[in-house]
Amino acid sequence: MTAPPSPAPFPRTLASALITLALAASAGVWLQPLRAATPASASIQQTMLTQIDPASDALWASVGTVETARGTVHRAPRSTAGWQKVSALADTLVAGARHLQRPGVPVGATAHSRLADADTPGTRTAPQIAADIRADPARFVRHAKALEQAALSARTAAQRHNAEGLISAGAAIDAACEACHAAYWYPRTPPLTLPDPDHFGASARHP
Amino acid sequence: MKLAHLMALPLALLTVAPALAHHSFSAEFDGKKPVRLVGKISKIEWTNPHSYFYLEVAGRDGKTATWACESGGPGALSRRGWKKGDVKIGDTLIVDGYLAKDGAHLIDARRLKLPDGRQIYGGTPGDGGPGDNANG
Repeated sequence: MTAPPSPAPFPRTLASALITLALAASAGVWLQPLRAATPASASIQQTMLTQIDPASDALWASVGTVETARGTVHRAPRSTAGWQKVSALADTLVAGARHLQRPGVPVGATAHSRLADADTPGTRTAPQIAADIRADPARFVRHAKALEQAALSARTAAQRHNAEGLISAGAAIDAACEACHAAYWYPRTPPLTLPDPDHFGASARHP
Repeated sequence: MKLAHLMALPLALLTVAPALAHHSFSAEFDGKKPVRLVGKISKIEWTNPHSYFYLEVAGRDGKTATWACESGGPGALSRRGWKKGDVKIGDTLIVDGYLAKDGAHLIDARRLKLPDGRQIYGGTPGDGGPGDNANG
């Protein structure tokens, strides 16, 4: 018979809590808490930070393939509960995308909100993005609907436990995100054209 | 492990926590710092929204460093003409790309030269690969 474990001393408890917190943060779930429902007053920025970005990151991370010298590992949910979690992530994305389609959703929490990557020259500001949306609201709604459709495809794939379908839906989610970001958020500079190999090699660093 | 070390761990882990998945090229990479890597592939991650392959690159000081090469997701690579088996663990590749702004051993991989001499492209707009219509 063994004695019942004594309560952990405070330092060990504190350390355990800190480690748990850190692991959660490293998984991207602490800094940006995931919200299943969208507050009616949520801005585009808040919807991205609390719903769309964490849900899409987790959905993308749920499936993939890793190759090393030790072999190939196919990552996908391994249980019904795991697939249900992915389906719930897709639901969160659908909810976020539908919120973006509401008329008059503000861009940032305030008119002066600094958005992500604001320090990168050319990145569009909240007032600029708001003006672009006001100029053609239907265009922005089309982008949000593209995300909604891709997220619905992801939900269908998750419900069918279809890893390949989830990868395809994940690509569609990425395409919807990128198209909207390129239209409203990213700097409006032409893509950097890659020089031919000889010219590139002449100017490139060679670590 | 001392408590001070345990308390430092969360901060250390925070520094390696994944960044938001989406950034413009210019937010993450420096277009004025082209890099050509030559090394053997040690790991490949086929994931959305980006795939990564890792090269073991011998530096001029003789030390080997691991570099992460970011490319498009599996679907984007497929549209650029990648086929299963084009890149294999242990292959020596020449990779052209642009250095991460934060100085990490990370590049936006634009063009890969395979051991058989073929070139394939990383899926970033402007890489010039099949299906790239970034410049009209």
